[in-house]
Amino acid sequence: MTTEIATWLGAIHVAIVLTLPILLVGIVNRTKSLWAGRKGPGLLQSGWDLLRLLGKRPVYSAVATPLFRTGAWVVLAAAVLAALIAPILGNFAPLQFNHDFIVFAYTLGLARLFLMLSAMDVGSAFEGMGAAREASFSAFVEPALFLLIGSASIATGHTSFAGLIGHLHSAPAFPMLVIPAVAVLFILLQAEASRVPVDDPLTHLELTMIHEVMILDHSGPELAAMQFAGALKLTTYAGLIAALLNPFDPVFAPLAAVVTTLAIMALVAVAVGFVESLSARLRMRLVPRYLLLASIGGSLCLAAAASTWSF
Amino acid sequence: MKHYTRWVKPPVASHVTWGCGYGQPNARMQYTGSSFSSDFAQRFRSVIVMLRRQKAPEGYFPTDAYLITDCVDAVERRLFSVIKHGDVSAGKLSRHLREDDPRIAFAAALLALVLIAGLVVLSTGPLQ
Repeated sequence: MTTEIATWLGAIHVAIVLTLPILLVGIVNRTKSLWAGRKGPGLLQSGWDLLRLLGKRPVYSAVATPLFRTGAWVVLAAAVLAALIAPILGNFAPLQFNHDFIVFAYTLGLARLFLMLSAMDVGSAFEGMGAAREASFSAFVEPALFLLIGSASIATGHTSFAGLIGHLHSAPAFPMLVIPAVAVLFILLQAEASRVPVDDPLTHLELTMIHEVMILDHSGPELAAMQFAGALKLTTYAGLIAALLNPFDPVFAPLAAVVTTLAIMALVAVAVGFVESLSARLRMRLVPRYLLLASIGGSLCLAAAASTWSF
Repeated sequence: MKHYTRWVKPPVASHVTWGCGYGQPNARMQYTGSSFSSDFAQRFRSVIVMLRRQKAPEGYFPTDAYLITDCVDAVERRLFSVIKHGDVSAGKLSRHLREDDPRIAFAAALLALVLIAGLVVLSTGPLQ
């Protein structure tokens, strides 16, 4: 890969990371509106909402410590870092090194940790309840991600995240892997980005919320940071699905790879909107069972990869 | 001036934590570790033991009601059990030994000499 192509791909990756979260949330909301027979808000409405929040004066709880104030920005920074490690365009990521998928997983874990800490810092029983749910459900999410990464590692023999995802197309196990892998990533997307049926970003009944209840005391710029971080996680996982399905190598056919990636990510957002329009949020006791489906899918991927492994 | 004030934000405001009507929450009222993890622990209750002691409140103004929960960590419990067992064994041994007995000092010195000699022999032979 020449330096020029790497620079261009890096710039496109960063542009996707910064702009697509707003657009993908817009596509999800527009899809839901169309299903409900409404025109719905514009595709960039969430961007205008973020700008409005950035201009507002924050209101902090009287018992909040500096941990609460920094938590939202740590969550945002961790989400940006994870998005820069994720190979959205396929066999390329701006931050790429051996075993970077571990950094990816635990950067998202760090974001989750600070989200829970800042929720508990203000002492609200509701936010503590949301943090407990987040901790509980994330324990079901993590095995699925590592099973998937382990499968890709067995199938390709590569050690970087971009290498794993980018070379999966040429692996003998790819035809068996691809469907369960996409299903696993879609469930992970719903869990990480707090979408229906795992969570409902629109509900405002404290007892039924997970992510939204944890940010009840956030306002102004901190709320904007939390909302953008949530949208960024959606973009990251949509990008991983796109990388899995995109047949073009960004190094040899950059334009085709970028256009196909954007189209697949938009389709993923439409699929998220479809699911949210056609199903309700699951009852809280059923959420772990739904998340366990991702681990089962990950196990299927592992079995498929192992079946074609040559010793 | 108008352009300047647009970008200079007023100082942050302070308010009570959102408590659905209850206005005195603070971080010390948060969950205990076992209640925080109870949602997860309940799903694995066959392998995770939760001890629970409680005294229900009585009367109009109860003073001594309590709830104590402890999510038992089997590894931690085993670790402390071994340490406790070793401590009891050492206590039994020390009761049979007398510090002022010269035979103990002589035996300890002899043991140390044997160990040092053994290491010297090994370092010139098999360990090289």
